[in-house]
Order: sequence, then C-alpha cells, then structure tokens
Amino acid sequence: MNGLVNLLSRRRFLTTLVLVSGSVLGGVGYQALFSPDWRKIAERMVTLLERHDIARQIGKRYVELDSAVAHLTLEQLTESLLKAIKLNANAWSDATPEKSLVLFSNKLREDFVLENIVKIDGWILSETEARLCALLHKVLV
Amino acid sequence: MFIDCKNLPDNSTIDTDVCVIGAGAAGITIAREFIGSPERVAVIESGGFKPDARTQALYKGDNVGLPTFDLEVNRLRYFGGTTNHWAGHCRPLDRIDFEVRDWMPHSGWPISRADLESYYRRAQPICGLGPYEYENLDFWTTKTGLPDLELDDARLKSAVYNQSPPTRFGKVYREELGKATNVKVYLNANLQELRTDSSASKVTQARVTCIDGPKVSVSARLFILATGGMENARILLLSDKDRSGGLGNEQGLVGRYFMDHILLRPGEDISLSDPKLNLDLYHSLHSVDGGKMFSVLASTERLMRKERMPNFRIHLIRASAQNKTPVGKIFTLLDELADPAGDRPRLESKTKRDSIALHLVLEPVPNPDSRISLTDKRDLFGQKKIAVNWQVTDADLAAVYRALELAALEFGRMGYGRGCGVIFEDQEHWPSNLEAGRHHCGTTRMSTSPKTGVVNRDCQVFDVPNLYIAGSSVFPTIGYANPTLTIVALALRLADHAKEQLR
Repeated sequence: MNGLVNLLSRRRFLTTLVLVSGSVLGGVGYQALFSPDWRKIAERMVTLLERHDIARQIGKRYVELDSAVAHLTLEQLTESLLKAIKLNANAWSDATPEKSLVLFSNKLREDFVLENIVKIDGWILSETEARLCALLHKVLV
Repeated sequence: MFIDCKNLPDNSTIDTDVCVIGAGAAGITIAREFIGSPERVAVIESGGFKPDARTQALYKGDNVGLPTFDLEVNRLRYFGGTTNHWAGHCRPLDRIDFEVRDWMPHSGWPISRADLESYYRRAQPICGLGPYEYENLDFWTTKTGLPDLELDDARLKSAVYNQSPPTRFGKVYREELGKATNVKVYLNANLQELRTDSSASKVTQARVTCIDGPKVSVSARLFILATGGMENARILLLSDKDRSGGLGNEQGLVGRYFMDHILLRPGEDISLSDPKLNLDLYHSLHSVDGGKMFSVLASTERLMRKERMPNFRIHLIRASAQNKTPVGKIFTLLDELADPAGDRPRLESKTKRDSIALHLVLEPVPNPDSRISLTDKRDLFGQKKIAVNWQVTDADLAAVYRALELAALEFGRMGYGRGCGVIFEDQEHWPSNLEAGRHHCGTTRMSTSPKTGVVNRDCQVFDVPNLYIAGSSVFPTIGYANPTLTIVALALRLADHAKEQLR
C-alpha cells in the first residue's frame, strides 16, 4: 500500500497541469478543414493543455493502464474527443477558443455526473480529460 | 451533596430510591433531573474530582481486534467521565438512522427520531449549544453570510454540526449537584457487581469498593447503569452470581455488536482548481446566537436508499498553510469559463490553500462478531478485565470506497477540483490510516425483543424490571453523528420514565 509520501509525489505530478489562456489558443490560427487532418486537429486540441510535461505523464500512465486507449490510433482518439464534445472536424476548426474550452468544460462536468471517470494512480479524473492527456502523449510520441 | 466513599464505615449500606452508577454525561444528566424531586438519588462514581492513576488503570484491557483502542486513554474515570476530554461535536442522529434499513443487517431502533425530538431540544442547552437548527442550513448561511456548496442531493448534502464549548459536565454541574439535598454523589466508589433477589428477577444491591477503603453496598428501588459503552457491558457480564453469563445475557448478546465510527483522516485529498474557493462554512467554527457551528458533507437519504449505503459524513480540512507545493491546478480555466457570471462562491479567504483533506466518518454495519468479552486477567479488585475485538467488514470497506468516490465526483462536477486517495489504488484492502472514532456503542443494544437486544425501548434490561442502561451502549446503530447529544437526550427520556415508574 502506498503511503502519504507517494501520494504527495503524485500530487506534484499533477501540480501544474493547467489549460492555456484563450490568447495562446488564438495564436494557433483557424482554417476550415475540408478534409480532416487529424494530426493537425490533435495538435491544436492538446494546446488546451499548458504544461505538456505534466499532462503527458498523465497521458502516458493512462495509456499504460488502459489497453483500449493504448490501441487507439491518434486519429481514432482525436475523433472520439470531438464526438465527446459533439463537434465534427469542420465545426472544430470554426470554434473559437472560448467555445472549445466551454465545450470541454461541460463535457468534464457531464463525465462526473455520469461517472465516466478513470482512476490513475489514486486520482479520479474525467475520462475526457484523461483522454486529452493521452492524446498529447500520442502526439509527442 | 458529595460524599467521599472512603469515609464511610466498612460494610455499611446506602439506602436510596435510585442508584445511578457512573457520573459522565448520562449519569450527571439523570441525577440533575431528580434534583428537587421526592426521590432520593445516589450517584456512584469510581473517581474523584481529578484523575487518579490507580483508578484510571481499572480501565485497562486487551485489544484483540483492530489495534485502534487505548482502553485506558479513550475513557476517563473520574467525575464528569469522558466529557472531561470530549471534543464537543454535536448533532442528533438522522431520522433514517432509527429506521429498519433492509440493506443493513440488525438495523432499526424500537423508537424513532420523533420519539427523541423533544429530548434532543432539552439536551441542546445542557451540552452548551446554541440554536437547535440542525435541519435548516439556510438559517446558518444567512446568519454567517457564508456560502454553502451546491451539492447534488442525489449524492451529498451540507449538514450542520453544533460545537459545545465543550461542556465539561463534571465542572459545569458540580456546584448544582453539590447543593442538591436529595442527590448524593459518592466519589471513589467502584461498582463491583449487581446482585439480585433469589429469583434473579430484580436487582437488590450494588456492591461497591473503594481503593484502600471500605466496601459498601447500595440498596435501591431502581438501578441505572451509566458507565460508558464498554463498562456497561462489563458490569452486566461481571454480575453473574445470580444469573449464569451475567444479567441481561440470556441470549448471549451482552458485549456483542460493539461499534465505533470508522475514520479515515484523511480519506482523500482534493486538489482545488481555485484557491479562492470559499469553504469557510466547513473549515471554521462560526459563532451564531450564543452557539457555535460548522458544516460537513453528509450522505443524503436519497443516496442511502438508492445505493443501500450506511450513513457518513466528511469533514473538509484546510490544507497546511506551510504547504509550498501548489497542487491541483487541473483545468482551472475550464472551470472558470463554465462560470462566466462568477456567481459561484469565490470569496477571498484569509489563508491561501490549494488542497483540502477529506476526513471520512462512516457508520459501521452492526456486527455480532465485533464484541467485548471478559478475560481471565484481573484488575486490582480481582475483577475480570475486558478484551475488545473491534471488527469491520467488507461491506464497511465498500462503503468507505464509495463515499470517497462520491466526494471526488461532486468536486469534479462542481468544477472545484480533483480527488486523490490511496483507496482508489487498492479498494480490496483497508488503508493503513484506518481509525476508530472512540465512540463506543452497541454492547447492550436496544431492541423490541430480548432475542435481538439487551434493553427495551425504555432502556430497561429485558427481564430485569428495575435495571436500566444509559449511554451509547444501547445504540443499535450509530449513524454518523457523534453520540453525546443522543446520550444526553436518551438520559433525559430515561429520567422521565424512571420518575413515572417510581410514583
């Protein structure tokens, strides 16, 4: 059984995972996507995560713990996240940063209501936020 | 009036109407109710006005179950009893705590919350508490100006606790009892056993001994045992001269169903998204109309009925201000963007904090294998000591897990943070920080039948019409509330009943 020391170290592991501000997202640029470039969508989506080092650790751990997520391709994972917030690729490209954040925020809330959660090293996270982290891991691999 | 039993002649007899054994919250409350009445009352108290090492050592015993009890330290054996060091947290049991819950074996009191309501109200000032407004959170949020969390009542609610100063019954009520002419408190008087008539149907005598002093006996019309959740059972078991196995123990139930609150401190940490989130209603004590209060998270009836859960509460404990590692900034911006109006409680608090510890207090499932029994070890009077075998079950562990999971779900849903706990990594084993609440209950449980309990709805020992039990040992289930307010309420009810029986 892990003690408090390990618990604290895990806390640090999650410490600085925050979302970037809208201005950073805005800097990515928005162009309508006539045929989805999933890597490009994924790269834009993970800009929601500011501290990539921390988020990637979560994502890596999630992939290690969940073989179903591990086997998803980058395209499949990206598409599943878009479905989660009920957008298609074109709508995503048109969405403002603020709208993207609100959509994900609402989805996170819904996950906690419906108990769509994952447990990673003692943390209870929404499935969607864990998948975002997993996406980052896959983008950077 | 106070009398040092050591000054009595050896082999003398105290003749009285009511013999109350034990001067803690229950015994003192009952004695006070008789002040000025026509009945003569003798209170038999083991200790004096101050702690005494040899007297306190009479509480020594063995732990043969979970190693969480220091029997000599948990309880105090002098005038005022364990109220000499209680924390003072008060709340009545919930209505559902009294019900037969088909998902909880051995649950159900023979009385309801409504039967106790007027006594709870009378108990409130006795415990030094303010307004009796446990079911009205709005009363407290209005008075304090503090926000409560917007919890989903299918899961959790904010529940009100009152805080006693805490009232030290021995100090607060000493003068009043000292002036009473019909109530005599005998100090340094250690009950050895209760003796009955030849048919063993009525208690006739309490045998009392002083350390380095005389032996005396007390004869009375009515006897009330008020010696605490463990010692009440011990006295009944020791009183086996006239009934094999002890008084009230025909079904072998005395000492069984020993319960205590299951504590995990912490059970979980919540990393807050917003360090300015105002949780002061839960973190701090607030003075209102002559009383003090704080709030906790608690299970709702809807949750308990739907998920077949026991009752529980969760304290939100402020993280150390010394913690220099900020934690839990997860998705902060998402949370804030979802609240564009900013109308959720985000008032600046005096102490910046980024995490809170959740302390879980869980009601255990009554378990006949969790018990107190006599051993062959003897105290200085030659009386058998007790062994405590506190047991918790897989059902308790499952409830702990779910309660903490629900808290994490709610903080996530509200957008206030994420939960982390050791138990979420290993739900098959108890976390190493499992503790007992030091609320000893259930060993002389109240029931409708002698087949399922030791005392009836009037706290009378079945088949012994003039022997009553006061205190938490009569609780058949214990909810999540600390027991003292209920102990005092039941003591008031018992005093009323005793007066009726004597007149």
